Amino acid sequence: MGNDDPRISAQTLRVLAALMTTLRDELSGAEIGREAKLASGSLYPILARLEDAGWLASRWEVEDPSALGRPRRRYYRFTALGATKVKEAFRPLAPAVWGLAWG
Amino acid sequence: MGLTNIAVAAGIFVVGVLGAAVSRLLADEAKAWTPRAVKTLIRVAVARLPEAQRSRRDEEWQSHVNDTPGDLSKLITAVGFIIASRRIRDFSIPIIGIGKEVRIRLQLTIWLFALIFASILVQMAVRDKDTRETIIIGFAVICLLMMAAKMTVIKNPHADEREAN
Repeated sequence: MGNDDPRISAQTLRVLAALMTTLRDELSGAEIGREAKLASGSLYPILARLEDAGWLASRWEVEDPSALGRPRRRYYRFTALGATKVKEAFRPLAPAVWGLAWG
Repeated sequence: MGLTNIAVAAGIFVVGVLGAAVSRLLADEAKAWTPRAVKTLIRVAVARLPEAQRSRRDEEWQSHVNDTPGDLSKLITAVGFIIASRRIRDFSIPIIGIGKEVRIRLQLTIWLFALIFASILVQMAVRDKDTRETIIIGFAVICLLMMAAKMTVIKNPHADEREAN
């Protein structure tokens, strides 16, 4: 964890923006994909890189899959490091949006 | 003339009805096979990942497909996992301490040495028939070079660490 910073491509920014602008603390991969309008082939490598760099943390849904009647979702959220890094990533790009999203 | 037109029209009608029935059957068939195809695609994608990540990605990707509406979208999403698994695998097993570009150059250099050495051995074999020992030793060296090229890819210890959570 906490490796070198990941490359911030336009797609990575979309993933970060999806997590930043959600009203919830965390989103599943499918939800991030929908918000960021990214296909699964691009989304998961980005999530893996961000997680490996320590920007994101993930956890399984706590409910029992047999009770849910479907596979558990994996939820992603920013770590403290990620929250700091994402501020740096977005600051030069969108100061107006920045204020709205983070207060 | 009138009869011919009626026959053509009847033929078109029959072909249309048959075509609709067949396409409906094909659509039903495709719908029935989609879950199995999706599972297979996820299984193939997961099998390409480092072992420590397989269980997690299997469940996570099945959940993703489950949350995706529409059979075609599910299939496209599952095909995407194949691409994702290749990218994640490439990213999960970088050589430790040096970058990807250096790794590629190193591998190319080693392969080039192996190729030059092999061509020298072939020339020796053609010119002189009594160089069997040299050739055997030479091929052993080539095998070692190939192993060295393979060993430039070392598993990233963080891959296991990440999946342990």
